[in-house]
Amino acid sequence: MTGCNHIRKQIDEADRPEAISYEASDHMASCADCRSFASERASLRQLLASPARITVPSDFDAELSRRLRERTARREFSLWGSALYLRFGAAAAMLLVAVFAAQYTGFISGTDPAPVPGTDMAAAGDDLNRQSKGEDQEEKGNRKKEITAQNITPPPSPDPPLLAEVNQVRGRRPNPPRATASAAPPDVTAADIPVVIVMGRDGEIEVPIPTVNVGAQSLLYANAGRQPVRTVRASF
Amino acid sequence: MAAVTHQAQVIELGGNRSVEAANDHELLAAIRDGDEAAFQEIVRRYRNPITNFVYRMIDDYDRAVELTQETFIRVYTSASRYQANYSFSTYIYRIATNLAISELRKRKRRKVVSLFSPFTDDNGEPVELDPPDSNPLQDEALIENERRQAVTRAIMSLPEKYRVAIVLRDVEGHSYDRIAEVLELSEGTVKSRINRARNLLKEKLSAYI
Repeated sequence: MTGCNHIRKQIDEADRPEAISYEASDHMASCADCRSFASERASLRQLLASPARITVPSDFDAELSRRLRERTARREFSLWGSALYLRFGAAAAMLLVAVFAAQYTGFISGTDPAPVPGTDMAAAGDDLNRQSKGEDQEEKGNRKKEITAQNITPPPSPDPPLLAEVNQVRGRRPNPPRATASAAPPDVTAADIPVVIVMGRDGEIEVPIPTVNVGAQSLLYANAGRQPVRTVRASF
Repeated sequence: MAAVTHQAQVIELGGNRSVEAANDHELLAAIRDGDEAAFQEIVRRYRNPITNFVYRMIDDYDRAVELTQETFIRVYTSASRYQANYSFSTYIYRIATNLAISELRKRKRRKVVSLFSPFTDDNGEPVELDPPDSNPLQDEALIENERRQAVTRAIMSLPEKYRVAIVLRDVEGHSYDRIAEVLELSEGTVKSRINRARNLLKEKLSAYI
């Protein structure tokens, strides 16, 4: 039976049913089972190969061409689309940077980018230190009155005549009147500068927090009349 | 690309050889260089065998045509990545086989039930429903048609791994080593699967053998 299995394997693996080895054909001459097996396999292979081979429809090439064009166009569009997306992104980022830069340098708003005296950190710190040490409120009231008076009567325009002429030639309107160095801005007072109270062994120390102006709005600002205070506990 | 015409066949490749005389590797090289006539020649050579193979695999003519077109689209779009480590025939049959198997798995997920095999056996394989037909046979054409349908049903009832092997071997007539390349299996595994498939088919088609 082992011999039959070996022969049947040879019959089964033959490229063609009739192309069997001499050993197999010799065996089949004396083995009816293997002969039957070979006949059965040949019939089966013939049956499987018999179904009529199908052919493609007449519009196969035209349809293939259409699909190929579609696919190619889609790939090109996706590549172009991604490039366009990147281009728009880069342009938007550059525009944003340009706007911020223009605002920071005062090109758009026309304001002087130099620090406003009222927001000078040293002065603010002094003011706050004095305030924290309980200096009289009367002085503070007087100073506020001064500021209010300066707001009512603004100083003359700082634009010198030459610059005004240049602006006229360039088609720019002259800069609006600005506060002088001696005057505090109308909307920023020393009381608006936020401070951090640091608890130390020697008592409380108030450290003013610098404010940074980005664009038209400061990132960290204090509302008038409400001084944000953050207490930091630390041991020295 | 219009239908393949005789005009396309006489267009010459880079040398003085016509497209018709070029072998598959030369045609692929020409496709890489943007030669559309070379692609048309490849389509002309393989469209019927590939369609026939896919049809035997999935038993759906329209879908088989679509998958054959998809096969050629993949050949075209990935021509630059083709490496001539084995024959182009192996390469294109491998693409078609993958697409056909993918289609069969999609259908399995969608639980498409054939009218001929609505039931499954213990292994989850479809069991063919073949009610006896008491009507007298009309003529040879009907007999042949019935036999063809029986063969198709029997092939479709085979598990996927046996089906692809037996179709490539006994329907398409590929050699064992070619099938092993297409399926990326050892030759021994291919022979074993074909033997198993034939044993299964013998039971299903005993009335016709």
